Amino acid sequence: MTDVTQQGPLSPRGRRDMLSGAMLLPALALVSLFILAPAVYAIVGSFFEFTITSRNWVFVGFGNYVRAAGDPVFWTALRNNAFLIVGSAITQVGLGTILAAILDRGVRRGNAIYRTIIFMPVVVSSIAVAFVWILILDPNVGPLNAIVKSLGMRPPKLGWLGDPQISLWMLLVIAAWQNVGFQMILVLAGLQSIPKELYEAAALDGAKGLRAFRYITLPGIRNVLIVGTLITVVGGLKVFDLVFVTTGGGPANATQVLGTYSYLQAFRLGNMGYANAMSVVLLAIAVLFGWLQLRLSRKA
Amino acid sequence: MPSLQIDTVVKSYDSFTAIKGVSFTAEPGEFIVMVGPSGCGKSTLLRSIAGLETITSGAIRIDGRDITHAEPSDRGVAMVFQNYALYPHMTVAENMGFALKMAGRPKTEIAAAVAKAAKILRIEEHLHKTPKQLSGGQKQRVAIGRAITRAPDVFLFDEPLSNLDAALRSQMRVELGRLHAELKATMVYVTHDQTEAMTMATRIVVMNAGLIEQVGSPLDLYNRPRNRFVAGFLGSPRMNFIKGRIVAAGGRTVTIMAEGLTMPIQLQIEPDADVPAVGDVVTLGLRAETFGTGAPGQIAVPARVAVVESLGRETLIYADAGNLRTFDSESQDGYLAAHRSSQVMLRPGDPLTLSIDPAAFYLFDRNGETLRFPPVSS
Ligand SMILES: Nc1ncnc2c1ncn2[C@@H]1O[C@H](COP(=O)(O)OP(=O)(O)O)[C@@H](O)[C@H]1O
Ligand SMILES: [Mg+2]
Repeated sequence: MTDVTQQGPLSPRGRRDMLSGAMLLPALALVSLFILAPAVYAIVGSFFEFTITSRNWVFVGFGNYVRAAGDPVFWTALRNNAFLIVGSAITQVGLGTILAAILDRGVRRGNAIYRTIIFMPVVVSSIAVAFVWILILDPNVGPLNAIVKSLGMRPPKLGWLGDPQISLWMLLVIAAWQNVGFQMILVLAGLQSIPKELYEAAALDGAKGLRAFRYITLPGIRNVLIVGTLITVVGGLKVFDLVFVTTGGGPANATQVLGTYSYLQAFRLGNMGYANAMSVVLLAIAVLFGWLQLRLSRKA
Repeated sequence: MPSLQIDTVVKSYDSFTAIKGVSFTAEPGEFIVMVGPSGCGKSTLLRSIAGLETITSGAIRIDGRDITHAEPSDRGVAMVFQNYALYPHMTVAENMGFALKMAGRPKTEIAAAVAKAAKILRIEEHLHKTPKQLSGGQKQRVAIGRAITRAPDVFLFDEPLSNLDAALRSQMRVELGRLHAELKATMVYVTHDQTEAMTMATRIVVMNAGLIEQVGSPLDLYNRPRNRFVAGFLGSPRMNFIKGRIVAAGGRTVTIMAEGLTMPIQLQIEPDADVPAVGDVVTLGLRAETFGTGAPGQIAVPARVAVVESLGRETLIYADAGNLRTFDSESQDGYLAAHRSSQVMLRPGDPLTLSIDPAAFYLFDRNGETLRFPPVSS
């Protein structure tokens, strides 16, 4: 008889499983409430046409997706996202790695100070960063113009953020300035987790300098680089506040991204369904990259 | 089989000199064990030989070739690290073949060298695993295998067994001995463990505070330690050290009153030692295994059992003999260590008579230099 109760739902094992379930519950609840529910809402909404205030949802099937496919601004926005993703991966992860390597090896004194300075923009809100850069890039009073002029060159006539040829590049620079510190800290932690003895063994085995980097350092920070790249990719996908404050997607959609364009469609033009469809496209791309990252880091 | 020559090597860090002028030569095929307390500079010296540290002055030669300033990979040395230092993202085979790959050797040659080393170390079935799939002992074998594949002139080991458990450690000691016999290579092995030194070395280099105290074969150092440091460092349990004072000296014979003994002890000084003056403070040394069974001529000392360590067939007794106490040992509370090569039915608190054979005494002068060795009994 006692045997049966031992095997029952309140056996030590069952009790432990229940406890772990109970511990996970708050997190699961929060995720469902703030991530899962809006996602489901967005997916469902993408098959309807409605405005934010209307109770009146009209089912349109894949109409919103078809509309996106035929909307040149959607494609411009998507292309701009892609540009920011690739550009950020190169500038932020690349530069972050180089800075981390310099701090790890080259800098003897003041390591903590440099680290703090480079990391500082990470903790500042994107809005504040955007305003700082609006000032820096201001065509009338901005220091960048002054510097360029003092070097005997001519700043762009339409302004750094006003010239459609330049503005997207400027956004890339601002994003890099804000986020490179984060990537640097990430890579630095990865570098410092590689035991010094590995480099010594490699030196004895004939791998120094670039070869030590290729065979010891790179494999050692591989996962960190994958995670860092994924974070950059997601950042490039969902970028909104920086663009919204600096250029608002202009001039003439030159810096339009899916984030700002969905906002425009949803809250200015009242096309909630269309905005939802674009968000779902964003979500799908993000999920794809997340899955890719999981696969890549499992292989290691 | 090349020789290794260390010539008055000095290694200073900013404000601290870790190696203060060390010289010795490892003859071809020798198994040299450098032993000494933690922090005495063993690793620093070994890393200097490997080229991982730049020495401040002196020279290092292998087979007469000056390698003092050569790159680590050009010295013809291979090193086995205490924490294995295996490349975590490479397989065992890749780890072992890495040096040959860096040297640009053809794949078939690398595979052959790896297979051969794996066979010697009996790790063939692990070649495709990664280091984190291996146990500590297997990892250390791979690390040794990595050294073997390179076929170096000199093998360097830095406390390679200290991360292993006791059983595995004694097994690996035997295997390293076998490996040395098989490869007939010149090896330098660093440890703080006197057992490893005694069991594996063809010659032991005893280091202390950046200097060499003595070089010699294990038994040579055990029987004829040059000073109190070497006498205390080699041998387990540690030699008993008893304070004494010279009360009379005539010719090469001195008479000593030892603290805790009522009877004066007469000893002959070695021919090449300086005779101490009357009144000098000296140290008497007594190995644990020399306590006798009460034969005539031996000094009987009443004592009480403090701790009994039964080792199976043998027994270690730590005895409280009142004022007769060993004075420099950290852990024994001044208890005398006595070794019996039999099982003993004693419990703490039991009375016990220690018999001391005066002929078994070592004698050290006030600076710790040896004045007298007991005759070696066989
Ligand atoms: N990079 C270093 N800078 C300063 N002192 C060091 C350095 N490396 C080792 N030492 C000092 O040198 C001494 C010898 O160290 P080590 O050779 O590692 O000793 P062992 O291997 O005998 O335990 C120690 O006192 C240690 O603190
Ligand atoms: Mg050491």
